[in-house]
Amino acid sequence: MKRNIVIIGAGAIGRGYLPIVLDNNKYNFFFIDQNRKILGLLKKKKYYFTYIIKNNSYIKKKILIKSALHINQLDQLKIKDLSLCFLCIGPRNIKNIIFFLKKINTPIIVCENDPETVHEIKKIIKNKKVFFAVPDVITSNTSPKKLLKKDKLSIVSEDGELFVEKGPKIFGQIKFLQKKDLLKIQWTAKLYLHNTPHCIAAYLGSIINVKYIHEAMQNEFIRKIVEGSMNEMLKSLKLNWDISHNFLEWYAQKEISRFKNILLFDPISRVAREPLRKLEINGRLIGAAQLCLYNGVFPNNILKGIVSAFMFENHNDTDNHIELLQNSMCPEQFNKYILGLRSGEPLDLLLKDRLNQIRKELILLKKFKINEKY
Amino acid sequence: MKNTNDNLIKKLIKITLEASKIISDKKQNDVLYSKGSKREIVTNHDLEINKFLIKGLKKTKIPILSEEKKTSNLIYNKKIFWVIDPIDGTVNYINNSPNFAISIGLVNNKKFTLGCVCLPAHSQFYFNTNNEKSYLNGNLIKHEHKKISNSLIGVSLNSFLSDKEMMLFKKINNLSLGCLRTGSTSMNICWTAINRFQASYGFNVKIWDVAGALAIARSSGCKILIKQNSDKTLNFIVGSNNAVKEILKQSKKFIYGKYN
Repeated sequence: MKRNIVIIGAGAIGRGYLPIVLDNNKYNFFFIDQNRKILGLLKKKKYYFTYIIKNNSYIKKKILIKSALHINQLDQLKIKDLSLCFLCIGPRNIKNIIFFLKKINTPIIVCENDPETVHEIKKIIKNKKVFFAVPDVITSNTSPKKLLKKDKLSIVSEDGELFVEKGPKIFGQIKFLQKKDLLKIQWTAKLYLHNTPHCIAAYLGSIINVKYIHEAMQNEFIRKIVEGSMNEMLKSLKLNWDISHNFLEWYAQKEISRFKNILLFDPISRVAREPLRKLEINGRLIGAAQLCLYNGVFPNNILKGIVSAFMFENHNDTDNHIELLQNSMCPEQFNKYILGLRSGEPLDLLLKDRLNQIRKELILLKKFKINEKY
Repeated sequence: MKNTNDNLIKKLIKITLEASKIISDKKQNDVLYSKGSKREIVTNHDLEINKFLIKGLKKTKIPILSEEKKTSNLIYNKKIFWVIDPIDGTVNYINNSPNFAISIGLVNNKKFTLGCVCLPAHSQFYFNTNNEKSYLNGNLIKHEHKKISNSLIGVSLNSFLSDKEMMLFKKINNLSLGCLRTGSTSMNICWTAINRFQASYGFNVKIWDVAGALAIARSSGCKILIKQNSDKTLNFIVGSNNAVKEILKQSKKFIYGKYN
């Protein structure tokens, strides 16, 4: 008899990637989301296709759906029949489902790009069976037009790897690691060699108004900044951690090829969303620049990435007020109150010194879509 | 966040944060005079910030009510007006305690609609928008409702405490995790919005102490009860539903008339 898995968050990782690695013969999938349009389609069709990129082509996989519910209907789930719960709804949305997590007694696997979330959940729900997971993959939350024509729910993913903290029993293609190794190697590499350049590519891409990451990477000016920021992180990580340099080099190269992958259709709106979260003090942009400065690496390209995040405009984004904050605060105040930098610390001084110059460069990029010339 | 009040909000943020620079510049600050009790003091920083805020807000052509400026009582009949408190918690400020705030609020149709409060020594600034969202340092805030037994309560007390107020303080202190008198009403209310406190209350507080912060608390999802005592003064209870209800119940002896 199949066991039941609830996947909270039917986006890129939840719908696109987890059903690829989890054993479909052993599990029924229950999807929970806030997007009524997606839920409507999931309920109606009872299946969808996910496409895995292998050897430059798509491999189709049909995923059967047991049930799809709105986040407000979580209490309708029969808790005693659940064997696992995966979280991939974004760290900011966790508070909306805490009541449900308190009720269940199954292992909870947190795929939230933030190990702090695991501590927070454990503390609140007083359940020790909460585990961190690092999906080392890029999954789009959509697919190219030709695939969407066949199935509106289709989604494209790379052939990645799912690393989970040792503890829960899960059937599928999963690599279990001790927590310290997971955090030290996989999470560090993911945060700085994936998240940092990935979101920089997205913010720069949004400036030239392209839709997907691979389109942004086709712009020479952007590609150089993204590769430059990758090199800055690579140098810093080599100086800061005793992680194999070969592994770091391999990881960095793999990531750059992922960003350029023309089959992936990774939407900029997804990667660039919630810029204020991405500008958090210990996060992928500010934290990355701080790490560089700490190790004596000048974060020239990461600074450009940070300023491009300030300039992100998307009226549908939760953090769309970043524009208002930028327009109403001087750089000194923005650095103090929004970025949490101490007045006079190196990154504060650097940002104040470089802000206008970088902004001018990026405005030129926007205006003329400058390319090879730079 | 496109809405009709965008420009007003921008102005609010800009002016409040610029005013906070006067404090961070750490120029010499002297107590100039007292307005009554030894706690109601005015420093040259109060006056400097007051002047700066008034100059900035004048451009909006909306009348301004300030703690530090004599204003005609007719202002309370206006449909819309700014309410400013250059330094809420001046006694704390001159004694190097970080609990003080710069506060601006907008009263529209007798409602506290917009607010911006800066706590410079805590590196915090709060504002709300007219689409009912409140932010701390740019991050959306949402009050989480808790029971009074799991609550810290912020209290604003008068310079001269009555026995009844002390009795109430004791009761609430025993019902909750504790009552704190921080010396800054707007800070109490903002900290209630972000759940550092679960509720706060005050009697006969001045409108400039609460105007900005209550707008922020309302947009964060706090329950708010207000009883207007005069044009300038009011009683308030703000915070989690259960805590507000309990404080109201306990304070029946002191509060006459209906809360809105």
